[in-house]
Amino acid sequence: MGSRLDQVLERIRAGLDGLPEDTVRRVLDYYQEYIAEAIEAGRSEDEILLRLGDPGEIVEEIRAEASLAPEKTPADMPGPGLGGPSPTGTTEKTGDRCGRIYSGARAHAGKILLALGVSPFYLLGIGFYIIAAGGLLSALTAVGLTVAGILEIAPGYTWEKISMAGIGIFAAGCLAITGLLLWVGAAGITSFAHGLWRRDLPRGLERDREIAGRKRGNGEIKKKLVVLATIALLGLGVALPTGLPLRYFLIWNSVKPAFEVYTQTYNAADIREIEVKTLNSMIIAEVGARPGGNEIRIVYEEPDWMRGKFTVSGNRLIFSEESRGRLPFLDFVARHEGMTSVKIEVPPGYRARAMTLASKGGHITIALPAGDIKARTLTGNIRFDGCGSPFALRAVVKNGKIITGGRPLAGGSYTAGTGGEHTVELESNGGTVTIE
Amino acid sequence: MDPQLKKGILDALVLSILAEGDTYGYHLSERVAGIMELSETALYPVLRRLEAQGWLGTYSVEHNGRLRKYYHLTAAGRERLRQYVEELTELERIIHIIAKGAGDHGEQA
Repeated sequence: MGSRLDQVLERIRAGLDGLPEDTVRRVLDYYQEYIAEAIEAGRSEDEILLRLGDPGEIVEEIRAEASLAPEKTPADMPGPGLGGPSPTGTTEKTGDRCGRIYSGARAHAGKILLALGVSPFYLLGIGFYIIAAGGLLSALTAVGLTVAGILEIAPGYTWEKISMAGIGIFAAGCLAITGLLLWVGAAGITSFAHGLWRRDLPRGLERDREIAGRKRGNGEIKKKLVVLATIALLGLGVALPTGLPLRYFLIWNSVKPAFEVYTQTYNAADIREIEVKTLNSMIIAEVGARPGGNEIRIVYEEPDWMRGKFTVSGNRLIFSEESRGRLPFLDFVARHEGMTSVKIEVPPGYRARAMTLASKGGHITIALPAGDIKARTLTGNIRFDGCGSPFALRAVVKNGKIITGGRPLAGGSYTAGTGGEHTVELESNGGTVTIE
Repeated sequence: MDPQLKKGILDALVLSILAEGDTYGYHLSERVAGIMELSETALYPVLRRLEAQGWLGTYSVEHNGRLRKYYHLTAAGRERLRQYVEELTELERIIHIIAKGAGDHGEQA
């Protein structure tokens, strides 16, 4: 069915070869529409063929009409000279050649566009789909492992968990929508490029079917978009009422998170050794402001997802900071934990037998008379402002730099003073060590 | 029929069908075919000519996933139709006389 009708169209197409493309397309569009309507009306192929008449006649008619068209060319064109070539003929030839070059260039442009434009779109689209699917898979795995009792999730934090699940659903929906849109973009470029490329190839009823298929496809894409948008909004609807997304947003944007301040005071005479360990809070060791006092004060700003522990064993004071079991998703909050601090204030003239200050990510600031001090941090900076009795100083950095007297040193290590009664050791993996 | 006369009558016929309301190619074709014998081959140039003269305009409407081209009468087309009707009325008068003459002649024969 349709093949003989296609043949008629093909014969018209072939017969009109060389005429302006627009003319040809309009003729074909007209006959295609007629055929499609007649088929829809239940006409048989024979009936339609009879009604269409002889394709040769159509072609002749159109050609005859087209040959009248050059009347429209500017009137000031020189008329045909005696025996000379007709200017109309010359114009047509040039037009033909131009047309061929133009359509060739267009076809190439189409191919190049296909190659350059489409693949990144498809790849990105596929990539986003994979990310969305991977996220969903890992979420399901996490849930499964938790249900099976293999994975333990910190107790409590109910709202955080609900909120994170909502944000996860929202993110998955957004990723999937992005993937879908990229896919649609790729399909659009494909059909556009394809159109440029194939415009000069014969067409038949197939084109109608192609358009119909595309229309159907658009409807499906719309449906998919609605489903994905609903999923994303559902996730947002779950997450937003918990109020946590707003909080994360504030934390993320460097608004100092809520914290409690704890202060512990010890008699300096009882404490000979001090050991402070934090995760990401800053450590500040300095001489207390009150002269003549004889107490060691530790002031800790405790963010609500951390816990500070003060212990004294013998004459050793230990402060350590630990996580309250924050959900892994919230790790990014850790980057802002450095905004809180633990401050150790010692009385003037106090010198610990040993002082150890260690932080994973926080900065360490020491403004004390030199003593036996060890400071170590992984990613934080260390600032040492010591004075007083002679001491030996050793500073080591791995990926950071050392600054003394305001100038950066070339090497990764620095030693100063040899003898002395005390040793100061400063070590940072990735931060800067500054010695005043 | 004389081609020139047929051409004029076809133009007028199409314009008069469109005067009743906008319609699409297939429907128009069926209407014309119901009045006089005419293949698509003959109708297409008529539509083209009328459009080129600015007497009818076209617009597309989606139908079953494809575009259906509708034809509508322009103001100029309406004016042209009025002229055609005038001309054809005049022609009708003449045809009447001719037919009468032919009839008289036939009776005499």
